[in-house]
Amino acid sequence: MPREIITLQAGQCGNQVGMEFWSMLCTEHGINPDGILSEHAANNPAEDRKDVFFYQADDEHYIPRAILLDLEPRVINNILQSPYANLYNPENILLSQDGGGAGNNWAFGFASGEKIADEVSEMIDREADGSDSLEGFMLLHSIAGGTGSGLGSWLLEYLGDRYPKKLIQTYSVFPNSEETSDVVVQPYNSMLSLKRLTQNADSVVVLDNAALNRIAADRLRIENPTFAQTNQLVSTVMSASTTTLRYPGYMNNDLVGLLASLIPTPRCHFLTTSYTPFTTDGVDQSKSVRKTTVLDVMRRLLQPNNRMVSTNPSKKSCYVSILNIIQGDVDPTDVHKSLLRIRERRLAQFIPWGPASIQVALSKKSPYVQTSHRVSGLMLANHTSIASLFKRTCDQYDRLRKRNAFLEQYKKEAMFSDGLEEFDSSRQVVQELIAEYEACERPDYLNFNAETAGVAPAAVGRQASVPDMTARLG
Amino acid sequence: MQQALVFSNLNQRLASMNILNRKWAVLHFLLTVSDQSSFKNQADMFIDNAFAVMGIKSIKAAPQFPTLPQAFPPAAEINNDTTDSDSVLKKPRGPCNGYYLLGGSNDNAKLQITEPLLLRDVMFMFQDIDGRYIKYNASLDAFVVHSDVWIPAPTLETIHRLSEVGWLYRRIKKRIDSWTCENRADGLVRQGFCVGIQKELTAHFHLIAQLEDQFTKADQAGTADFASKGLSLKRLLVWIHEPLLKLRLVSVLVDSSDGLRGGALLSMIHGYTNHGDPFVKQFVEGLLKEISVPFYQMLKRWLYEGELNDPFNEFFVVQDRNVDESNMWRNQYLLRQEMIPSFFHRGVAKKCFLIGKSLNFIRYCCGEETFVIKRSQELVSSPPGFLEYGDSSALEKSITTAYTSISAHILDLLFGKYKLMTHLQALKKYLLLGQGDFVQNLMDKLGADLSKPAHGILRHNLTGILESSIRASNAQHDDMDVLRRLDVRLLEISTGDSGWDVFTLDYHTDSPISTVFPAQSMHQYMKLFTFLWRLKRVEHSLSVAWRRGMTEYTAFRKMKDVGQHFHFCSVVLSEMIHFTYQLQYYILFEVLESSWNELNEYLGKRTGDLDQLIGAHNKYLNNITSRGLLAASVGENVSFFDAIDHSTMLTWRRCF
Repeated sequence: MPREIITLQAGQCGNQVGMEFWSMLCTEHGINPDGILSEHAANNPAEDRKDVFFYQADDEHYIPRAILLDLEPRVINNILQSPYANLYNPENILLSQDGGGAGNNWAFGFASGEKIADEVSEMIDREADGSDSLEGFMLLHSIAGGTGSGLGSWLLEYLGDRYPKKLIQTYSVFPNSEETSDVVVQPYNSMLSLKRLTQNADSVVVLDNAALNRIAADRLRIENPTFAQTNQLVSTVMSASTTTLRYPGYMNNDLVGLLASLIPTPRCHFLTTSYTPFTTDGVDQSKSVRKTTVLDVMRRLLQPNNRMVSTNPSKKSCYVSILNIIQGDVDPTDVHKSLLRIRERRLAQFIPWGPASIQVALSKKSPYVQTSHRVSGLMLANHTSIASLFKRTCDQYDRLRKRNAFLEQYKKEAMFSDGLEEFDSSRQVVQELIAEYEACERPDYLNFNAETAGVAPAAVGRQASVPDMTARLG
Repeated sequence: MQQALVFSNLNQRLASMNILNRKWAVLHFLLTVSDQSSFKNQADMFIDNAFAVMGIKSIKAAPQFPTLPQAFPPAAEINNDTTDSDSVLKKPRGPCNGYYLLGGSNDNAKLQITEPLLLRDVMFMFQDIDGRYIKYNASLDAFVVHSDVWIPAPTLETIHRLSEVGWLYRRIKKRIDSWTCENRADGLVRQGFCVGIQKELTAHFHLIAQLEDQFTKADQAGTADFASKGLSLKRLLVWIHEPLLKLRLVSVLVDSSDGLRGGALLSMIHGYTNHGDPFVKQFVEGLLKEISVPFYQMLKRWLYEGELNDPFNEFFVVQDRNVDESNMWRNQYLLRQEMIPSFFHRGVAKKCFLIGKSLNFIRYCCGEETFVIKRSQELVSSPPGFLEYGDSSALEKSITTAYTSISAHILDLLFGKYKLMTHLQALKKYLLLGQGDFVQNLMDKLGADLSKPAHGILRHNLTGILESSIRASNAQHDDMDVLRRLDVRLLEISTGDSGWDVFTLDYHTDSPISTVFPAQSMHQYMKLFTFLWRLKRVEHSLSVAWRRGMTEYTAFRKMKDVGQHFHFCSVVLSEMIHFTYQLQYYILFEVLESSWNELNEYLGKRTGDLDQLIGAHNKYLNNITSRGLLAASVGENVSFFDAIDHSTMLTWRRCF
């Protein structure tokens, strides 16, 4: 009963990230590109759990629990021509018949979901039935384009209905909001996706292209990183954040355990990540000589320029929670010392309304991957400055929306043919989300009312009773 | 009349002495001296002086030398002894001094005997045989000269000194006879002691034979030559000087050995080797070499075969035959401190003890006969002088090497053949919940069963679940041997207990591994398990609550008034989650892993013996217990967690 996780990859970005993710997972578990366990791995009884992300076919092939969805064939064809072509279950690959893509139109992507609903649900049900105790789903997508955002949003709604008790985690790549994008309608797409990410997902790992490019440039010294290279960064983060699921230890062995400590209230489930040190294949410059101690890794994880999201933290911004997953050869006693040092230096600012601290999970390193670093670390953090990202999206959206620009394409689809209420409701949801994150920075967050979104609490009597309860819990 | 004769005689002699010019003063002095009512002090002084020469008295105060004052009763006592008119071999007394004085207290003239006759009697006396004139008087415990015989005072004095030999011989002989006849079970060391003393006595006889030979030769040669060539009492005194010292020493040893056995006896004798007099030292060492033979025999068998060949229970190791195999290392053999000979350093004795114990452990618990046989063959090839009294540094060295190699062998066996490391890891994985996926699975599946009242739980149901959890988790890749040992155990049920209260995992160990994990340690493991299991259960139920909150958040959102409450619950829940996580991180990093690291570091060195290994493991467990806040304030913790459990349930209800 391995708490399986089914991965859904939607759109160009989702599939590219997915491809990198699976190849990385295969390397870490000692699985050859064709799905057969490498000789080395087969001879050593493993400490890892391959069955969280893979299942075994009749012929001992390891097959990813992955569903590949796209509306245009380019990326998936790339995958099918790669050495990993035979890894995937062909029944789990769905390409839209017309193959024209979503044209960067969220509405088209969402509507396509309806059209392929039967096939998709058949795939998902089959995978779900093949798992003993399904823990949840992982969705990989970007929210700027048409397929990842539109189809992805549809998937989130669908899963919420079909599997209400399962967790849904997404790895969502946000657009590069600092530069003008080639996709003009990207604020619309983002806004509509954000609503689903807020309401239907249980945890969203936010990655944004601006930050990924910056990290590629800073850390890996690549001037103009390709998508493949930034996607590799994403897949590194994904594989690191799932290590505790794949290498069971004393703690954090399931997704719930991992997320429960990170997400205090249901809506504040947008997580940022940092990873250090990065290396990429074939990039020699990245192999700079560095000392990697636990303290060093933890300290670097807290540096804003290692964060894979570009946010504008204000003075009030603070961490709601932090989980550091440290991989490699670590002396547990170092962890405590490092945490003490970080607390002394006040390197991390935490919420004022409740207990919070850096949590650390030690994880085994895959024996099949050789790295030059003794210790590497991933930080999963819930930081209130994420709201600035949403605000930026809102600003861009508002600018477009004010002019009612580029809405024709959306009106073509059934969802918007009668009106644009969906846009407004999405804007409202995101506004509430921002309000909640801002409330998080205040000491009276306990009295925050989700309905009135930051407006004063409704009843006086209730207000009086709440501090009572806090006193008791002390 | 007679007295007048004596007086005139003496007066004449005194007057003719030209050397003395203060004759009056001398006489006065003698008069004063003769007025002393008791000679006891003088006698004591004499004896003290005699032994001061030996210097022995200073060594041991407790076992006193044969008390000669008794053997030669003071003059005053003799005088009172009306029944006996024999002249006791005692310091000559004033009244019977004089050449021509024949009579003693009786009027009949006494027999004067020649020196050769006396010599013969003295010879007899040496062998504790009654002669014609000198006989042993049991009531006085002394040799006495026949009352019919008159012997000049200086001669009497000489005989008195010589008589000590006979007296000592008699004493020693008697003691030895009594040991050899009656108390055979008093031990091999004691027998060895007897043999050693017998040898001394034989030497004594040898001397007497020589003396006798000399005596007879001289006797045959005729009286004329006798004085010049043969023996005289004075010569005899010289001859006998050294043997007398030996006899005295032996007699002391014999006396002090009372009640001592085995190693203690050896210790006592060894104490005399510290004597400053090289003669004593040499003599005792020679004696020890004899005596310690049986001890070294035992030691050899113990060191090389692990056999405890100790019929008289005098070795420093004792075996308790009632102890079963699993407790063999701990309880079967005991080290008796008082039986360790003092020439054995405590550390060496401890090592010897461990070597033998280890051999037995290897043979009986690990079933490695061959190693022990090989070891016993080493003995055959060892040099002849090996393991004898004396060369203690070589002994120490060889014992240390043997100890090191045997300890290393045991560790090799435990780590190699018996996979101690695997077991330690298994205990950490399963009883200390290191194998997360297995624990999670077990908790998922057991939940329903354990929520029932404890008396309704059937153990075989739980073992079934355990099996399936093993198969469903990564535990399946573990050693079959390890998994076979894993078991479910239900603790004692008290009323009102639910399954959660009584459930615990158990890990069966057998010999020889159980030596490292005795019942007490396993109990500690289970205690830790209960604590960690409870903590995990809290985490588990909090996770379930959190998941409900997350997944049903949308539904709650739609309800009007619930929002605020829901928010509050979420925050409280997250606080509890944060707390349990922090506690678990603490337990994991500060308690389990750090203690494990310490243990691992020690084990990695592979040094020390089994006892040290057991010690290290105990330390590991105690570290976990104390750092895990379980040692002192158990009650506090439990109630603490009960409280958490309650609030968890509270939140649960609110979430619905």
